[in-house]
Amino acid sequence: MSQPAGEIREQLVALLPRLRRFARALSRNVDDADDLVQVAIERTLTRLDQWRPGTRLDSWMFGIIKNAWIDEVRSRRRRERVLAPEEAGAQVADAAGEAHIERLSLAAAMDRLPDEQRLAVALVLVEGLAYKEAAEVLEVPIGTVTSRLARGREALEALLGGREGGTS
Amino acid sequence: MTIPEETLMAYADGELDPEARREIEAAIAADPELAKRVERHQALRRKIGSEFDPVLMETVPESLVSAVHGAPSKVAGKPAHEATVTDLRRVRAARAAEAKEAAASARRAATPRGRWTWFEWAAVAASLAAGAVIAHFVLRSPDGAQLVSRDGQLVAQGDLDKALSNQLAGDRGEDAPVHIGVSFRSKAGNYCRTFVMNGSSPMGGLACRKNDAWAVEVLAASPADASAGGEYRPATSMPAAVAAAVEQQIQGEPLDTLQEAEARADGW
Repeated sequence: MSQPAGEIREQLVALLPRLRRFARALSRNVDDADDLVQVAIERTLTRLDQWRPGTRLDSWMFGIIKNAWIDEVRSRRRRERVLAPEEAGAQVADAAGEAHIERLSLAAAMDRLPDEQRLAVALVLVEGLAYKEAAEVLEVPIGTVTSRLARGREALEALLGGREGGTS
Repeated sequence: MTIPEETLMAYADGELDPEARREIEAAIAADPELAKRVERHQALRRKIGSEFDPVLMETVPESLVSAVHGAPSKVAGKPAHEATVTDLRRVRAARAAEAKEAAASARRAATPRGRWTWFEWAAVAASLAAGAVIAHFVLRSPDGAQLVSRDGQLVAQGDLDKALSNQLAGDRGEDAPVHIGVSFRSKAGNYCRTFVMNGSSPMGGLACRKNDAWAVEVLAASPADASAGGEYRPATSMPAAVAAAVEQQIQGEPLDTLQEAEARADGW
């Protein structure tokens, strides 16, 4: 039997602070992060009947936010390619140069991680999911999560500490 | 013995099975360099936690709370590949309108009526819609932290824990660090209490008794008192998000003073 929708809504409200934290780890801009949560909520409400009682609501929501974020990142990149391909290329080069000189803030460093590494870091290190749980949210094998997480950590260390290439 | 970085990382994250854990521990004991690498993984985790955990204490925008209670929008029901762009643009366009509406409904809610009559201090101000960020108030309280994160759940400690466990609703010492608003039985059967933490940026919240601790379920900036400098203290105002959570979770009526005292005597 499915849970009454009212109960799920209650649980969703209680989850909002964590959903916002997860979204913030993906999207540095506060408004963009909240927009992601809002889109995820709206998508969730249209598919409450797909919710399987006994499974974790937080993991389910993280998966929906993840998909919304990936969609947004893709469409933004499409727009950028159409609008200003050269300018975008120049920005990437600047960003790489800057990383060598100054130590980045953690938020800025997270921002530079490849999407898949950022997702692994956000689920495991920000939200405290076990590797197995993160693998379920990301729909990849646990070994994939482990290696993305290891590479993400190494990149963060390098960006934060100015370390050259992370661990040897 | 060469240990792959991924294995050390998994050890640092508590992901290894007991046998593998023992092997790593033996290796670490023999090699301080390994211990340093493990510590670095743990330090990064702590750093990331201290960067993002304060988000948990920010005011949740009213628009998100009402989105949860709202009817599914038509746009969200579209196929995913075309929904997102439209979604985000629509959401952004609607933001200004929502803020306006939230301010208006907050004004309406400021007058207790109907099913809210029992909620003697459901003073809800538009400042909540403004969404002031007050994350550091709790973290840097002079009396030490009043909240800790435990197993992904915010739990009261210090003054807040003491007040939730010992103080009766309406006990209003002018200088008390915490005021308790209303106590009730939740639909889940446990006791819940609303509170306001005083300070330069007052915060209101809802805590429910779980596993012998007060789990803080909602926390939001307490609306500043409009008549600053007047007689009326901001300690009596409760954020709309808290009021909404009470309305959802309450079973029956709030406890009266006698019931409250009995619950306290039983250790909640």
